Amino acid sequence: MKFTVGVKSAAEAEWFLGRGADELYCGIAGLMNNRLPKENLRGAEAAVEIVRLAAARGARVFLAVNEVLPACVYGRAMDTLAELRRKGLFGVILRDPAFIASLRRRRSGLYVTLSTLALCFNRGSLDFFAGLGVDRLVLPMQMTPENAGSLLRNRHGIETEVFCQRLYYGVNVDSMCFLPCPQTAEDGDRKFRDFTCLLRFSGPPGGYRMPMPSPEYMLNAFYDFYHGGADYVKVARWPNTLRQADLFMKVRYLVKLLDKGATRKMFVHEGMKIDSKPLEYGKSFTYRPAPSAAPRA
Amino acid sequence: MEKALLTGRLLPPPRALKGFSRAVAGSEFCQNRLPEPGVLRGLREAGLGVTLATSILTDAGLSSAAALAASAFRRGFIDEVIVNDWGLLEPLGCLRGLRLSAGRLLGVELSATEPSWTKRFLAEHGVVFAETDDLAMAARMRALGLKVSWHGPHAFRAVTTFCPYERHFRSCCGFSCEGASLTLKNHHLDAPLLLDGKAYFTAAASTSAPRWAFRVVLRVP
Repeated sequence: MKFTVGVKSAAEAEWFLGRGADELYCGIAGLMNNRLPKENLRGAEAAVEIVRLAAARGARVFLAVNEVLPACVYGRAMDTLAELRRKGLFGVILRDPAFIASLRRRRSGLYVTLSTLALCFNRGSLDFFAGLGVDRLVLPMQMTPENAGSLLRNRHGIETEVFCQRLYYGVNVDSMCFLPCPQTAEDGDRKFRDFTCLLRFSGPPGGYRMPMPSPEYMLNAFYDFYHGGADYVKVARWPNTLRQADLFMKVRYLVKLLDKGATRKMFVHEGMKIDSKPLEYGKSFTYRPAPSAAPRA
Repeated sequence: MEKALLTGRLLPPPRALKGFSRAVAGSEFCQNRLPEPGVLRGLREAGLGVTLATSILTDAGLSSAAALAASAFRRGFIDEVIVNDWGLLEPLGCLRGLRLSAGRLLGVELSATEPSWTKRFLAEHGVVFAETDDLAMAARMRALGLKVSWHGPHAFRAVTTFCPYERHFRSCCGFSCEGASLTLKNHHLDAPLLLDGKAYFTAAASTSAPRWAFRVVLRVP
């Protein structure tokens, strides 16, 4: 299982590449993607710098453009992708079927990863996106291994990428959640109301929190994804770089256990020792990028 | 404007159907809430047009939903299906005369994609209606040539595939959510949330159906 890591800067790219990232991805301001604007690079030149750093280590770089794109941005998006392709960009992460179809018509030569946001939960949906020409599927964060067999071993030869749900999870289907969220509080005014999925609600006896599966369940799921043939694990961009670096090191540790042949019991036992809250994005959501020097692990 | 009742998985008592000319059975938000064929037949025999609502689907859910829709349509129990999964469009494509509606989840994608591609896509797959509870989306769907079916009085806000009632992802469940909607309050939020099945809603009492909507779908009171 290889590591795909999101970055916000060349400094982060260097740090993650030096610690085992096989691929990087990034976003560019003005090209819509599913992260805070400040998590994006300022322009294509910054992406070229990351492509150059990755190429020196034989790693590939993707650009995330994983929102549904209005027709008015097609021209600019296509031009940017074509320019970056000429400068070594390997692939693009997309969600919008119309844009994928348009990109394929132009024979851009870019590898296309279907974003986790694309509502692809079954073989029929994968057939649809395979017809558009996607090369990789990032499984929805709420996809379970018992339902993912036909996606992991699909007949189209499409590669698959998963999240380590024990360490990174969303309680609602990511692209279909329109509750207040720090990712949409773009004015920077992030208050309690912007963390709806962390709130404790009154109403039912004993109160209510939006539930998630147990840590044991999620560790077992990651074990099954690994042995089910998932090709990549994703460590997403994060506003707080130290938090993301911490997440990366923990995922790397779990994959190392699996690479060494850990039994399910041993893997879950070791995984339970890791200090992590998969939905921990309270204070850690504060924008704190890597300084020019490499961040501490 | 046609008036439809969202009946869910079960057959409501006859008095609940009074004043409605259509029933929307099933769920846009949980694949486990598919009704039995007998429920669809009962609604049809009550003199209603029947729409089958479907959700995001796993492989098993896709097979079940496609089989139920095909069988119920061929037996005359339903004449419409609400689709929220890309994968369901293909198996339903062979059912000539069955009308398809883009559900509230699939509509998020289709209402914003490049219009010329989307119009071709909708025509190829026989999608003629759109479900929504959002005025902006309703306008975009109308501009794509779809007839808009309006849902009220609550507006969809989020969906999960992890059952909040039974705390699992399984496709077999005890239907603990039946008749057990929860009102969730927190003083940080302007308005309470409503949890119904696997979806969260907010009250949207101030938003009424646009005049040009051809149908309004209401929940069982």
